[in-house]
Amino acid sequence: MPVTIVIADDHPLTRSGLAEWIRKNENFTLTGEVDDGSSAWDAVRELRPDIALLDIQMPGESGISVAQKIKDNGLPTRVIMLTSFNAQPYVMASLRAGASGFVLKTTAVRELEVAIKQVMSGGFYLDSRVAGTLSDRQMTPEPLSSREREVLLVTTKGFSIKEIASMLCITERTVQAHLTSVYAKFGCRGKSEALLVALRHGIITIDELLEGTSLDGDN
Amino acid sequence: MLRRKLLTVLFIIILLPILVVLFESVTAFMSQKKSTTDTAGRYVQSLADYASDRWNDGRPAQINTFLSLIADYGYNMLISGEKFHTQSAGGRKASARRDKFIPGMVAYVTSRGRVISSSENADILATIFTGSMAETSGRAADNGNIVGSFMFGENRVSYVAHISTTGNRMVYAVAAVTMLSWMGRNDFNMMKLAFAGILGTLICLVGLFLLRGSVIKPLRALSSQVETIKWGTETPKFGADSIFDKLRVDEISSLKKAVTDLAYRMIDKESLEKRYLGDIIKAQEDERGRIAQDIHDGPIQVVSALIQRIQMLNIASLGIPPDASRQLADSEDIAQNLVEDLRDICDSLVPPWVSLGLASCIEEASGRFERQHSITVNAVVNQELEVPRETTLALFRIFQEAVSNAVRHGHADTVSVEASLRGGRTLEFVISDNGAGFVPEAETPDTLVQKGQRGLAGMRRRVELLGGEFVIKSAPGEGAEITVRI
Repeated sequence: MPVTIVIADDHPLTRSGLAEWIRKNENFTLTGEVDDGSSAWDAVRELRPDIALLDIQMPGESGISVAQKIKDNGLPTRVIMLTSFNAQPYVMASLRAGASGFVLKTTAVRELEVAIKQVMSGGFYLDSRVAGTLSDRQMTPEPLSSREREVLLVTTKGFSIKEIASMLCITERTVQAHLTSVYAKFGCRGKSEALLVALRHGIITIDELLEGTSLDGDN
Repeated sequence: MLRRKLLTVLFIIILLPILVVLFESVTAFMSQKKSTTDTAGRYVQSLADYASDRWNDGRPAQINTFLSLIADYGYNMLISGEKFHTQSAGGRKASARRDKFIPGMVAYVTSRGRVISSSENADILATIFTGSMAETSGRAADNGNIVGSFMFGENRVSYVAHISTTGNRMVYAVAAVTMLSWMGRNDFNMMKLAFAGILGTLICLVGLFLLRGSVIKPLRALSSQVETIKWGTETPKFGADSIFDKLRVDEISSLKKAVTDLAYRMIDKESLEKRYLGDIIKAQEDERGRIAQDIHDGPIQVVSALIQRIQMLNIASLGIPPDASRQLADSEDIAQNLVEDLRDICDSLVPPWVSLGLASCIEEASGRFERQHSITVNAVVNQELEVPRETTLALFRIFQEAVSNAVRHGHADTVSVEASLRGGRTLEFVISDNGAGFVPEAETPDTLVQKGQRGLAGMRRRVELLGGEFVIKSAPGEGAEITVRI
């Protein structure tokens, strides 16, 4: 049975392109095509599609807010954000709103099939090109040590190096060394990029990321 | 110092001459009175001695003629009820009599105080004689003269008298002259003079008091206001109007009004300037936002659609020769690069993540600055902070400028940024770097612009527009720290 899809995008050119691609694919059925946030919410509520492809920036209501409504109302529809922005904050905002995938409009045709399959099987999909330079490194990065993984996870939750050092009972210099090592293994600069790489390759799961600051208890 | 004591100095300057004049006139009056009394004394002594000689001559007719020539016209006028209505009328009558009479009064009195014979209205001399005899000393002044006074109706009559002995030791010749006759109406008393002096002094004091209330105090208040006022933000406060405001000198009132007007005008000017700058910044941000939106909605969508078509063509059309397929892939790459470039332009105009809240905005910006400048940025921003979009945008711009300054001028390799809520209401945003630092010389935006520190001026303006506080701490070799409190 084909996967039912609703697409919401206010830009006719990109929407019609994707719609055409979906219609041509026998694994998918396009059940709805809308051009603003509130129509998107109506369509999802009435049609109950398997997948909602939501543009982030739409007139009236943003895709993120629609995703939040879907999550809050406990609808079975899985959300894949479809966007022109490739900034990490949008990934985080989308994840918090309950989205299962994040795909750029410029790579959608090539990656959407994989993304939908992965999301339908209960996984998370992050566009390969989201973090800029990452597009060139499709291979799996070198595995992290458990300490490195821990430091990276805490870093992405917004703690300063000083705070992390006191939480994990190590020196600031050691924290910095772990991070440098992580960046080297991932071939990236900075924690935003590292987070995206870790998410994409399942090194850090969304649940772990969205979990409260569980390490507070260890202190 | 002199200014503080101005009132005292003024008081002395005005009061001193008054006291001198008062003292001089009292002294002059006293000595004049004394000399008049002395003259009158010598006169009554001669009169008494002459009367004594006539008694010793023993010719009653001669005595009677002598007594009839004597009259104290001043006393007589009191008795007859005439008044010194005017100096001229009284003077004329008086002078007519003076031609006829020897002024004064004379009486021959027995040692027991009985009047044997006397000039007109001279019975009073018996009383004076008896009183004088009763007292062994006291009322007799120099030269044996008696200086005294008695009441006649409401009038106090001052006199000078002299008692001479005659050949008969039972008979005394008594002579007197009232000061009324001797000096005329000039016989005013000390009390009036003293009263005039005190009145003059009091008037002076009241005048000075009014001067203090209506000129000196308002001037002082005005001057302290002008010295302490913060031009452009405050109006002068002159306190509650006192009673003196009704007496206030016009010049001071208009001076106050001028100062108040000036203060209001400064405030207007300042707010106009702020509004103007605010409008410029807002217009700039609006324009940037509009351009970014246009690029996002137009070219980026069009090129994205183009990329989708190329991708679909390459995937779906299996019959494409490998050469054409490679050409398509290259075209896609070119288009992808174009989209990236356009996104970068949008992001540099107005970062879209500003609308995702302060924490996300600063984190994303930190990551980008790290890549862009090859530095380390430590960002600590509480996710829960709720900050309006315009504040987020302003703080982002300040962060952007600060990082740019730290890298370009300070050659810093680490920048820290921290945002937190202080005291529940104040948002504190601190950016520090490990760069070369500088001497933060100028404090006002205008001087900052003059010194070529336009970036700092812009930051300060943005904070001022949000009604916040902007502090720069820096010293050569110690990096720089910028604190914003809103």
